[in-house]
Amino acid sequence: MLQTVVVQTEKDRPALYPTMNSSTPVNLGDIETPEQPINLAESTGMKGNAFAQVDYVEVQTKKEENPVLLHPMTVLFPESKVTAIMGPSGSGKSTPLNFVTGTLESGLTAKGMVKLSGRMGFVPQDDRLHGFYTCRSYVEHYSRLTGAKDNFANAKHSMDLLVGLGMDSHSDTIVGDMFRKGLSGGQKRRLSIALEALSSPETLFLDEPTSGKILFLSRSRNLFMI
Amino acid sequence: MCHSLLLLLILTGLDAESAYQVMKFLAKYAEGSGRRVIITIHQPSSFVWRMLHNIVLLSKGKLMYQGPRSKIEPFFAKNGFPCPKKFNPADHYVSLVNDEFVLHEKSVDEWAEAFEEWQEDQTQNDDLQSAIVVSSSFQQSPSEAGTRILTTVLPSSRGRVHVVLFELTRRYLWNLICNPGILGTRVVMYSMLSLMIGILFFDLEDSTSHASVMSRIALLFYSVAFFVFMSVAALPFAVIERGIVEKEVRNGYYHPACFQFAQAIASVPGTFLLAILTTSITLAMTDLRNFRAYFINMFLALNCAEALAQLASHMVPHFIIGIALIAGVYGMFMLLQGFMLVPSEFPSWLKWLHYVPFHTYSWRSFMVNEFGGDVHFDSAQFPTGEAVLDQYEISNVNQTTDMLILLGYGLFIHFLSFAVLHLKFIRHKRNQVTIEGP
Repeated sequence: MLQTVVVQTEKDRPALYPTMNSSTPVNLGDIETPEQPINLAESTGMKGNAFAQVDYVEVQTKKEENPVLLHPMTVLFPESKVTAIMGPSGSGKSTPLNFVTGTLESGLTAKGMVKLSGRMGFVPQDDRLHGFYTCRSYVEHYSRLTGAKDNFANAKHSMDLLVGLGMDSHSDTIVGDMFRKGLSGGQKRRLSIALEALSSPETLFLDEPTSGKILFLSRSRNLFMI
Repeated sequence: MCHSLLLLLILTGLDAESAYQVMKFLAKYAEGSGRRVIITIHQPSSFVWRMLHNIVLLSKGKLMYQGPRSKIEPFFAKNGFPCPKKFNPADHYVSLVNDEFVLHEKSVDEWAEAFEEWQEDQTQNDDLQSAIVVSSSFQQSPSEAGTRILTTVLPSSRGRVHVVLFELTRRYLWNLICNPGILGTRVVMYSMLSLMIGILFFDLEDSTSHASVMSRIALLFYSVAFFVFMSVAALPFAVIERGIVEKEVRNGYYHPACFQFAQAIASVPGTFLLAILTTSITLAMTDLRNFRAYFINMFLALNCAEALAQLASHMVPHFIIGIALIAGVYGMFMLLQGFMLVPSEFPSWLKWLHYVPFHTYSWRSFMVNEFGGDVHFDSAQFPTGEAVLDQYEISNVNQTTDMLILLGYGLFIHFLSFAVLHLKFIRHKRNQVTIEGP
């Protein structure tokens, strides 16, 4: 299913950019808008390419010092590719991700358009997991949660995911918490990814999937490379 | 120094394995499937860099580069900054566009302009180029755009509701059993406190002195006030749970109402266990009256406390604030419940406040349970149980009514939790207005 999402935050600029309510159709013809959303996919025939067209993402503030988090830009997310959003600290890497997934934090205003096909899965930076599940039982739990039938094919799919992430040898290890030792940080991250990949979303978002100790690794490797 | 190096290498090996497995999996997940993977990454290591297909480079909210990884080097080389040999390319490009970096050569605006110029030099067949050209020239009539805005069709649940409810309830029951922080620590604390009560007030019921009357009243106040207060111990875990639920709701697994329902159901066995423990130990040692009524009262009061902890967990930014909030609310409830000040002595304009705390209904029912009926004491002030109840203006209290009020109180708090979650959910959905394609 072609699914295009207009991202517009609740407290928008009233004069030029009225609030878009999900239950009330808005006639943009009555509104003086300097820039209308444009469906690039339709106009270019780029059915395969998802994109985010950002008009602005701003901090709601009366102060004039640097309220803009994202300037106008059109970013493409080609299919069958891994796209990395990179930049220095404070460059606004997470903002496009939140813009695309419609989860901008309160206090921001935004306008733009996003076109993505199918279901989205989001893996946050912090691993939000229950400590008592083993990898296998966690995947089975998510499988049931998504309504998948308890059959051989689904069980194999679950195990294939763990194998694909190098977690098959830990399938009976608990996640662990403050009371019990379990998976390492990297293993938890891999399990988080397996859980979201289980239902095969067309777009998989990951916030810093190789962060944590990997940053340590990246620095040490640079030392060797220099 | 040598030990540090060894540790560094061990950690490096473990992390490299995780990073490699993750990137290998993501590349395979996207490859040839029509799916896409979008990641944010601060500064990827050189081997992670080689596993990326498409790069979006940002600095200060502006686009520095976007396109295939293979073309980023030509872009920076053309602008006079090719990546030096044996240098991590990602480090090089990110450092170049970081104008807070002391060695930077160009400002963010200059890089943004350079990228725009570079784009224009690309071939007309390039998808990105086509998109940018069209975005600046395509016109759509406003009225046409307006009529195509429809309500959201993003999924709010993946599995069937009853399956999700069953699965979530099972998860929270397992969590109750397996996570010592939720129930285990409280079982120990409640048991210890009940034992201490039993030791201090051993065979209290056998005594008919005036002091024993005062002890009974104090003990019943403590039973309501402190055992309810201890439910705050569940709050940190409820806040942790919120993060997991937010992720799952965001990914469309279920509506938050399903979570609230499942958590409410799954909390019942825990409160049942705590109530039966405290009732059994306290009453066995003190010989206070009417086990069944005492247990039902304690169970329903703890249910209210559990529901309030869950409500607070949805509303506070951090569990410490939640603990402070709950402590403040319970402090207020203890003041208002009618033990420290009888209802008639409340300022007339604040009388209604006496009926707000669930402590009021629980405590006065405990009192009626203990002092109701034909009970006599060797006390000039309180010759009968009825005199005690008269003193606190609760002689007309109906225990059954109060138990129903407590039951409704707990359900009402659960409903408030649902309302808070639903409002959050609506706000989340409002940011996702769908336009359906033609």
